Amino acid sequence: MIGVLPLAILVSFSLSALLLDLWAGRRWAKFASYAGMAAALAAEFFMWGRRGTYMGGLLVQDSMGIVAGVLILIFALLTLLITDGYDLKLNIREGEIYILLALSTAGALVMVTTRHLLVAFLGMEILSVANYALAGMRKDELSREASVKYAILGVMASVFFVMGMAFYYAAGGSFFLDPRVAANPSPLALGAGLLLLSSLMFKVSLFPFHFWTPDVYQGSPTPVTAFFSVVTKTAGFLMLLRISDFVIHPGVKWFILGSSVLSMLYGNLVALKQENIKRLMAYSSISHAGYMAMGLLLGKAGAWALLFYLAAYGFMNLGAFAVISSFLEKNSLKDFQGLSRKYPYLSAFLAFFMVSLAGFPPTAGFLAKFLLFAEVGDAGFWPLVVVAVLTTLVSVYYYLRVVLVSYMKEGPGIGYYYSTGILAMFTSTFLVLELGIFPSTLLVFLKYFVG
Amino acid sequence: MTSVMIFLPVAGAILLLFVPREKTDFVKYFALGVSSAVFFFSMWFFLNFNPYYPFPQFVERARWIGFGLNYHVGMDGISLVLVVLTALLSPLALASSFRYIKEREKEFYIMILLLETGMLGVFVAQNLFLFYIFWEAMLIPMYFLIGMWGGERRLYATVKFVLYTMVGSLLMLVGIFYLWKHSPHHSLYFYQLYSLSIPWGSQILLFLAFALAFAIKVPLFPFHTWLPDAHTEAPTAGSVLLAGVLLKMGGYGFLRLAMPLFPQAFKFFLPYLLALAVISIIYGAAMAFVQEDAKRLVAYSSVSHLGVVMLGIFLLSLRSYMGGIYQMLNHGLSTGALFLLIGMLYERTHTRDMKKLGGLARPLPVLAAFLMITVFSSIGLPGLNGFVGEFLVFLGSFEVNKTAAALAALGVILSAVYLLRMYQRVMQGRVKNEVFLKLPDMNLREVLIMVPLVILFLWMGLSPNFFLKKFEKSARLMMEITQQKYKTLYLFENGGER
Repeated sequence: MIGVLPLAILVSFSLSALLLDLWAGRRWAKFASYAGMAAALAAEFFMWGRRGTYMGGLLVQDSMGIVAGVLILIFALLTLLITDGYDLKLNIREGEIYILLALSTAGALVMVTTRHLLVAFLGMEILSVANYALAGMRKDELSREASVKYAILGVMASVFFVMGMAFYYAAGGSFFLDPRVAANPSPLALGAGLLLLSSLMFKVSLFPFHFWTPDVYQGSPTPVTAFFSVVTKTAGFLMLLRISDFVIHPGVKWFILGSSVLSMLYGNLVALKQENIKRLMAYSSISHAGYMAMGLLLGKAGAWALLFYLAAYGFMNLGAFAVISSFLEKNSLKDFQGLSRKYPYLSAFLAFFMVSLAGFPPTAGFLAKFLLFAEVGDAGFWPLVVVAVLTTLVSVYYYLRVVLVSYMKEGPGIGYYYSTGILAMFTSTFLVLELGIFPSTLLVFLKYFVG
Repeated sequence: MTSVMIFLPVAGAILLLFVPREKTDFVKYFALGVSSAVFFFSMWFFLNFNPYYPFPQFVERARWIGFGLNYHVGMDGISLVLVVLTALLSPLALASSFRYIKEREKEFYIMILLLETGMLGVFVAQNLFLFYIFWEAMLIPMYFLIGMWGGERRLYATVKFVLYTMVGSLLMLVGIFYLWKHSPHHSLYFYQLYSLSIPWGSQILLFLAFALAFAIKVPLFPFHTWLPDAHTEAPTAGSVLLAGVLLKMGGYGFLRLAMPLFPQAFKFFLPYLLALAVISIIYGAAMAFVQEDAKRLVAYSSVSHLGVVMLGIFLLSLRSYMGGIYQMLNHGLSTGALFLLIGMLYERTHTRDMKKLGGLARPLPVLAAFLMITVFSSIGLPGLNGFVGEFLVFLGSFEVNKTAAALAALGVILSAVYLLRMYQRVMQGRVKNEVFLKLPDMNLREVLIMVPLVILFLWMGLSPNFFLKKFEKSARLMMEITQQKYKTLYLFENGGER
């Protein structure tokens, strides 16, 4: 039963955090969330390199899932560091934000450790419902709007998933993801694939299902936005990977390809016009989803490159959000003018993460793009790689624009508060450089165990 | 040793991070010390280099990421002279900024040091992946240098610079993916890639991708528009390194990658490339002639001079090829010197508009003398370095393509016209502004910056063989690879890269 351990630890800690919040207050709930995630991370690391199926095959620990689980837990821990202190500044006095983050992380863990659609749906719903509440945590007009918008559209996506499950059952007679269903492509299997993919594409904000992203990103508290952009995305992409691995129907392939191209184009082009950095990051997140979706086309062969991309993207995005959240809700690009004079080190962090997101070496952003694009090209999708590369060029403009505003324009500079977010910045910087310069450890594991 | 030299500036930059920003003097001299140390390193390499061995020397390699993405540095003769050029110009550029840069000095010196590592890395990389990393990483410091310490239109100039360079290099990246996936053992070692036989269609596309990246950097005619803006707006040190080193990377990329990797495609596109080179020579000269801003004039003169370099390299006769490389060095030195002198002038007069200048030889005799020598070097007066390079290029080109040589020679005559006219408008005639009569002449620091350059003008002009023989064997090898004289090349060089 050892494979269930990370999940069991996290769930029991987050449930006890719920009680601790009632009896002992916010501080203890926070502590329980930190402890639960750290313990689950340790348990997940213990699983590194092992595999197995548990609970009658409902839960599966494979290399792909373990890597994703480790990533999700590290991301979630970093998010906690950003949240710590931010909540008090914004008058979020309850400990719920920590409990919800822990629960949502548990949902994400469920999503990556299963190949059974019903369990996956369960995980997705745990994640989503916690997310809807998290989006509304700031309790002002924008935040409420974000929460409601996310919830209504999210439920639509869930309905898609349930419908897809039904089709899948009709096609194959089982809820287990099974290569035999893919081998026998019927219209039902095609429908199931499309519906399941659509639902998950909503979660990772891929093109035709992206429209919630800017509003929700802008309205949610910044640490929560960071959480959405990395944890939800990682879990969603892992599910997408599993599903597209099993349901390789030519029609599905075209669907992913189109969505990927349009996400890259739309995300990058619309980001050019943004004046609010959180909206800018939202469009950037859409475009990165587009890049990652290219990895789905390769099925299991491209999984290692996609997972590396997820790791790199997660750390650089979290780092960027850690910097952004230290200005609380001052998010207009205009506010960033003159930042480098007032806080040279903070703006150096921001510039570093922007440069990494834009994909300049020697950061992880570059290597992730290099590996993924090369793999996609090698599979024969050269025109797709050219589109990806050219949209990267567009993205350089708006990422560097953030740098330009904070370094090369004069202004009073905004207020900043010190918090444990600094720790998140340092950790992310370290990991982004580590993955960019000495990635061998992770890469070799990914290549030999996942690929 | 090679790696120590490349990463010394980065180490210096990291140490500078921890120095308090108020200690500007320490920051300045520390940065100067680091980049001078790099220069001494490069001198050691220069003296210990074996000119009879055409393959890379001082090789260092290590398994890095794996899958062929390895760390592999080394210098053949061509790399060597360009490394020395870089290592020489960097401390000079640093020293020239001591008074020019008045704010955020710490950041400035950190950026120059980071840039230096990028530039050295491009020339010593022997693995295409490593080459690309240095090539791209270098953009960021330059972006900051132009954007933070540049002139009035610096934001426009710096964004334009980055985007233009990225267009080319990202398409080159797609080409690198292709090579990576098709090379045996996924090796991206240069000499292993040279022996790759690539189908015709792919070769055409790949050559276009690589050539675009390098043509933008050189820059060849229709891709040059970023250059006048970037040069004019950059601070003096930025302009010196931009003109002195960054432009050389375009030429270096052509002769090291685009041409030998895709020889058949190169042969196919040769007429068009020659046309572009010749147009660059004449167009650059014509544009330089009508500029009112002295710095912009020098920027356009770079377009023209680099056209001569590329003509020499494209024509693939040994004389013109070596002349092209020699001319790269000359252009680095003399255009670097021109930018330094114009920077010194600007520090005094606060204008580069030649309509407002004039008669400055009277208050500034030393500066005028240095400008005179530099202008002569740039237009190729016999006895100075520029003559040797141009002479070799034209001699070589005349053997192969008379039309191109004749047209290009026209550009050289024009260069005498616009550069001498610039000297005349700035230094001779009536003093337009009474204030200028009281300007102080060059101080000791500025003279010390210029002296090594002038010594090199004379040395390279009077005894060119001392320099030419350092890279003759390597140049011949690269040229013959481009002419497809070898089949399995990397076998010559024991080991290759696994």
